[in-house]
Amino acid sequence: MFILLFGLWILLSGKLGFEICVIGAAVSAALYLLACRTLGYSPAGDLRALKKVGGGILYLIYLVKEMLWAGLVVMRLIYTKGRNMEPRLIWFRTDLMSESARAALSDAITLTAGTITVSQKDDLLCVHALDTSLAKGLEHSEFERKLRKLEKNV
Amino acid sequence: MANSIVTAVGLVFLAFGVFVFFTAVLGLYRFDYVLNRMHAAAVGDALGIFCILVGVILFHAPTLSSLKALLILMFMWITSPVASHLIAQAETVTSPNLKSECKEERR
Repeated sequence: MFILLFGLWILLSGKLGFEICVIGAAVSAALYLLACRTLGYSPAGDLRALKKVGGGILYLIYLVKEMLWAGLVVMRLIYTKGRNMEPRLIWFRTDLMSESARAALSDAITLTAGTITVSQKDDLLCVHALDTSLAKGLEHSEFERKLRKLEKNV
Repeated sequence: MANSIVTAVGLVFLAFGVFVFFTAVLGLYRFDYVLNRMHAAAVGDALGIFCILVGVILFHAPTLSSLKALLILMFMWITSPVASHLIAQAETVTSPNLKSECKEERR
């Protein structure tokens, strides 16, 4: 968390220098202490999160790839004149256990063009799909599999 | 030479990004109903923003300013699904014609 805050400080400063680094380190340390006292962050929790970084990065790479591909598919649908699309409102249950993993699944579904998460209550998700072809295998998606794997590493 | 190549690639990304946004706007006119139109807008949110910002990053590379564009991309991708989700929920709750617009399916 400290490293993340420090990196953000450097990034927003726009240049590297001794003064910027010293002030950045002090401000980041103060913010980290405040986060530990008020938001429940701790060095042990950070180390646990660090173990999941590799899996998280792989998940993000997969997500970006799917987002870009889905964007191209929807672009093709926009230019296909006379195509009879069959929009669907699909309800399905997910077996992800944690709230954060379920939220990540909902976000991933919404970020891939062609599907939007309309609602999510407990393990029940409601997704709107632009066409039936885009809704295939929605309930057993690769996103869910990867998130389950990340969830198990907690 | 290498600089020119990077600039050219950045230009290609920017041009494709503009084309993606044009397609997204076209989709808003071509698709019927709010929920379908949201999918067209999502193309701009995902692919359009990505191409434009990658173009900007390549134009400014290698500086810290180019990494700021990456930060913008991250914030856009974190906030846009929340807004989309709320708009979609508002539409499904309030639309009286939802059943004629799309079929419901339980899996």
